[in-house]
Amino acid sequence: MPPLGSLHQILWFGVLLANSLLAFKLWRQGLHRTYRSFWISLLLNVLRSVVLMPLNPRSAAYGYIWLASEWILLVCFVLVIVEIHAGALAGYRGIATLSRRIFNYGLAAGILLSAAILMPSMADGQKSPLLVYTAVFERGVVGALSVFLVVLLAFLLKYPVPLNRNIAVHGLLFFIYFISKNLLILILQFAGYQASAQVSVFLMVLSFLCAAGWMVGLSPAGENVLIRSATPVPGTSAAKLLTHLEVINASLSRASRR
Amino acid sequence: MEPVWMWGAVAAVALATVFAAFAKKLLYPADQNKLDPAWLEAFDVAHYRPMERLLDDSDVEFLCGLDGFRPGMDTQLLRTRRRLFRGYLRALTRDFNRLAGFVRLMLVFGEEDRPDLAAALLRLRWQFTLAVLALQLRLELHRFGLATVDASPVIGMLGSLRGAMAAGHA
Repeated sequence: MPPLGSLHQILWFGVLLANSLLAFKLWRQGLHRTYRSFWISLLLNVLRSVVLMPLNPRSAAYGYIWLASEWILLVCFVLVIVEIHAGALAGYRGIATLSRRIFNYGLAAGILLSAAILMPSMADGQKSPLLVYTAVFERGVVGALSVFLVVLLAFLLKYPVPLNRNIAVHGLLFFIYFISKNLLILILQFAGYQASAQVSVFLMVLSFLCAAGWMVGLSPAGENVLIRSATPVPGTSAAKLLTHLEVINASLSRASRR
Repeated sequence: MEPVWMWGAVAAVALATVFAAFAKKLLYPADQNKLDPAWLEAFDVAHYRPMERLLDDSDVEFLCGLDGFRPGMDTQLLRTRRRLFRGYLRALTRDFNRLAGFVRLMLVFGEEDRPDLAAALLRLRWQFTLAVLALQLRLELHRFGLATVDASPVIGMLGSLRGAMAAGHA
């Protein structure tokens, strides 16, 4: 097994390459228009890596660039989740309010849960308060978005919303990414900062695997392939079924009024 | 291996299992979710009315008053009735879930925004779950003569769900 330093470098280049290829693939296939926030976050990630590459990780410039880009990337994460929510639930008039409520309550639950978990971390004494606040904020955002994704996926499991393959793959991969990241952050919290090198390696493996998953899972054809059709009765369209239900309901209502 | 990493590995395996279950359900929905309008057309809450009388004391009293009554017959009768009641309750729960499936379908594909119907479904689902749990508990206590069993609230909720569905679409 190579020493952690060289393994770290190999993975770092691997993630950079995977993200670059993924961004290129999305652009080439025109999917960057559908998953705009995701694509922008990938580009920013690649750009950050390229800018930071020649700099010494212990220099102030490295730290400032990393911090600034981290905040921007966190905003991008939020926008990506908004994109997934819209991709899955937009366009269904019958659940317009319900969809908004899921967004609000899911996010509120995530923020509350994260805030409760993060309270002790805010009190930690560290040399650089900005670094601590960024790390805490990152944990908060990642935690809140994970909870939100759980709420959204739970809703999708219950309601027969048709999903195209891309949005399902995209949502599930982000779910893995956020949940795993949360777990690693939690390990870091318990194991202390001496475990940061190992955690960093795991994070890069995770990023690489997810990028590979997106490369394989997202395709233009996936936009049109419904993995969950809206036809609970084989061979019947949702519209036909609804018309049928309407007739049954109308006759039942008439019968009950008699 | 340090304990924190060991626990991390355990958590990772648990998360992977949860994720696999999530992904499987999302990507390959089970056939039980298939909804059949013919079933809805034939559905009638009255089918469950016998539940209200299954564990009524008057039947036992009547049995005790008959010639040829032997001790133990009443216990046997109640045991059989409780078994029947459980069967009815399972069928009622399945029908409630089917109706809820129809309501969700109407919500997702309806032309109108129906937050009221969604809220009614959520409220009824919650009340129904609690009522079924309470009923199951009472059924266990009934074996020892510690509680009576009244099925009318759960039957009422089934009717309310059907009513909400009809009102939401008619």
